[in-house]
Amino acid sequence: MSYNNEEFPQYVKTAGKITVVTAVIGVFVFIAAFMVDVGTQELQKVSAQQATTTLTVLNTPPEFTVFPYEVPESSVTNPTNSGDDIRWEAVGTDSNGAPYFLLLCSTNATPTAVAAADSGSLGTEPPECGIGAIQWGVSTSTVSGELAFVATTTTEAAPFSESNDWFAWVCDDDPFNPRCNTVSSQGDVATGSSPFIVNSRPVLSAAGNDGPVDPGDILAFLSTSTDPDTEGGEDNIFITVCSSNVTYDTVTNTCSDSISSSTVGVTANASSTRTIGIPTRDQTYGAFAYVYDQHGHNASANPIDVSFEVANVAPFVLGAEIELYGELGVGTDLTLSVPGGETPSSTLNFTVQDNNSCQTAALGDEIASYDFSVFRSGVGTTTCDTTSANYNPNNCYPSGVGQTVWNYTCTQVSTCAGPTQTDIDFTCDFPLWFVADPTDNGANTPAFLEIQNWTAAVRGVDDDGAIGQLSTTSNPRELVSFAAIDILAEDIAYEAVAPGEDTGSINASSTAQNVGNTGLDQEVLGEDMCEGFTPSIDCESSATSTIPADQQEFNAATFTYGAGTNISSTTASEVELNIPKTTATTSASWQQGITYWGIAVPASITLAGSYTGLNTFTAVVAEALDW
Amino acid sequence: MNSFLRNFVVVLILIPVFFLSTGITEVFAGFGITPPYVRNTSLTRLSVYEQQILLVRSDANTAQIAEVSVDAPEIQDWIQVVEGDVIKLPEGVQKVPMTVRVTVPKDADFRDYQGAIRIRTLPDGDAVTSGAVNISLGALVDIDLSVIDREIKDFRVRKISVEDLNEGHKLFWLYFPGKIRFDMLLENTGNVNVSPSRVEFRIFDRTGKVLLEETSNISKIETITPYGTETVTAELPTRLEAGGYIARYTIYNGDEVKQEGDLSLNILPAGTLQLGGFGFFGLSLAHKISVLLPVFAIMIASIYVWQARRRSKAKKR
Repeated sequence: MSYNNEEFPQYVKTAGKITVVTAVIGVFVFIAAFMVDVGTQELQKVSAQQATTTLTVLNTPPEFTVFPYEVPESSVTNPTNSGDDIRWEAVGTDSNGAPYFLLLCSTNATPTAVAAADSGSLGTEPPECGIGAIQWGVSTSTVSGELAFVATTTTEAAPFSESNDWFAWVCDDDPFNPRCNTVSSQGDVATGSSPFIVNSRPVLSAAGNDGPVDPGDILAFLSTSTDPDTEGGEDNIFITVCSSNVTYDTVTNTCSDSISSSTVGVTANASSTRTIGIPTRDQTYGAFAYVYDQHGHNASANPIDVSFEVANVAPFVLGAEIELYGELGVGTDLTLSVPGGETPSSTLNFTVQDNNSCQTAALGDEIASYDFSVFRSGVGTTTCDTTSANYNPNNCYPSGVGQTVWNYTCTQVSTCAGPTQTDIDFTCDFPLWFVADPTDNGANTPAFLEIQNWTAAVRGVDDDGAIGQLSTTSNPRELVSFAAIDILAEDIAYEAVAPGEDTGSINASSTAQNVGNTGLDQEVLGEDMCEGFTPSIDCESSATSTIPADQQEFNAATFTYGAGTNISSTTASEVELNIPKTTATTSASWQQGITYWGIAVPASITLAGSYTGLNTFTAVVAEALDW
Repeated sequence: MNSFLRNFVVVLILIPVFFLSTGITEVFAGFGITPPYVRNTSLTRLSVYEQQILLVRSDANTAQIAEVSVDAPEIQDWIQVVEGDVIKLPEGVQKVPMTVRVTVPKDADFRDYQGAIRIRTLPDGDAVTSGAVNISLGALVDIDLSVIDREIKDFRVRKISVEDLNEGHKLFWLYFPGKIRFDMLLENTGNVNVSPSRVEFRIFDRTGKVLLEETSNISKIETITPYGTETVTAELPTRLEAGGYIARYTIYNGDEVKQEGDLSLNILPAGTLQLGGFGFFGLSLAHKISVLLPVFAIMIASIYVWQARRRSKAKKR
């Protein structure tokens, strides 16, 4: 029997049922009439007759014995990613023992069971969904009472939408009266019932980063990304960044060379960050961005190349890693020990660090060079900035002046073992001129110098020419006062004097040079003069052969004998020469003071011959005002 | 006297003076001392203070001696030149140290004292130029001392350094922190034993931007005797993991900051270096209590049981 389904939809629903009801009612009417209207006689008579009846027992449809369910569940919380299969399983039982089909449709429109050609072809004609319904799938013929399943591959295109209703039937293909069960099922397992959810891929439009960044800073990987799904709220999306495009696992959404990944999902523009470690070389690093949603579904545009750049940073020096000390060893103050010359062997140790490591990608030296200066603190790094312009042997020794002027030597004392190392140690040996300003607390050190000290500033320069900030040492040193004197003659050259005579206004002179770093005065002390004088053998007291020391007079200016000060052989006498501190290194420019001398030869001297004596010139630090 | 005889006598008399005259020759044979002072303003009675002074010369081609004389009438007995009154300046040696020792007597007045030490160089072996007024060079050491009746606790930091260290480690539930050893070469510039009152570390990441930990020494730092210069070590605990850091240290003398600065701090994985770490002393207070509490509980229980047995025996008797 067939109907025009479109014109007689009600027939479709009641088809077969009326037939059965009519037949049953007919049988009841017949029995009733027979029992009420017919007597025993008739019955006896009837029993003696032959009666022929015709009854067609119609096919009964299979029924669910295990209602359909999704495998795995496809729900808002656990949707089926597009492209994945969704599968339904159910168990149907046919009272006839006939095989059955599991049919999944998008609406509950009554499906159409299709008759097999004959009873020998049962299970060959699957049913079809009702009019207007999308058929999600139909199982193969399944033995009654056994598990039937249907599977279909989801897509992001029609007929699939994000949420998809399903209705299940079990049908047979009886050759005469194929039937489906009367009422569809949408499953009765909470997590596996209709509808099924298709999760679409997130949409990745673009990706990049906010580099270049410095080592130690945070690099952000950014994406222009969305997710079209709205069921149960918008899906969150995530990003994973890998250093290559080969190790990403689309199932776990991880990679073995992960650079960065987001831990908190967002509904749009997923991003993640990574703190660039120290050290990290300055170069471009490969990176690939993968975007996926909260259900692990990956964007079609994955991956996008998001290679990033680590910037070059200038080297730096820590203040406590600049060590300055004098020739007397570690921790000592700076000292001068060469009158009128350069005192060698002061030391400057420092460590230059670079957060790009000490080794370049080409295995060269990242820390290429350095600049430094040693200076009196009051001068400061603004003036003594390592360039040659402000070289001043009194207070500023910049490395930029070159070794022909300032003869320092520097040595690298550690090696770069590899890209995980950041620092290189250097040591410099340098001289200081005798004019270098003292800063210690000497009795006559000018106050403006005493409150200062000597310090060192260092900066590194890398292979790209990046110059670090000048760092000054945390441990400055004092430069110790150095009182030193030189006399520009080996003796005092008196003119010829006769016994009983003196030199009058004709003065001998001695020129004292200031070859230290303080202002200078001078003390003098004399010895008696005689022929056989030596430092260890004093002259005998003799009026005729010994000229007493105090026959000599001195003065800071020319004088006529008698107006000077007598020199003593026992008490030192100060000559207020007030020689300023020398500030130039060339001997012609050294500060000096002249002491004028006169002598009288006692009239009692009768011994003619060579008279030998010894005058001592003692360096005395001048008062602060005289520097 | 005829003119011939008169001229002869005049020439004869003038001869010695001619011999005293020689031409001026420019020489650079300077002599100096550094420092040119002995200065200490924080002496106390019975203090012993030493000051080293370098005697230096620009020409060391000949041997010389330096004669030293102390000119400090009030404190003559306090001053001693350790090397003696005559110090040799050997040929080829350009600088020679001289040590001045000041010993303050127990009855010294509390006041200032001044004086001088004169140093005169002489040719070794009396080698002077005959017939000339020779020149010798010398220098004056200024003595400036103060004896006071109060304590001065002060020091000067001459050098600091920090060694690499192992990171801390866990033993059962106890965490033993890593031990930072911070060495300081200090000069005691006061007149009593002194050591830094506190050493603090503020430890940052390698960029110096993010403060990760603040710590200070947990054990006492050894003291340095007056006027001495020695290396002492501060030990500080750290709970940071292995890695490179920048530490900002501060050395205190009381409330005064004596020095501060930045240095690198390298913490290596536990066991990398053969160095001892902190023991029980380095544990946190909670961990210390967790160890001590059971010990005390056992002790108290033992005492209680012992007392109970004693009472029980006494009753039986």
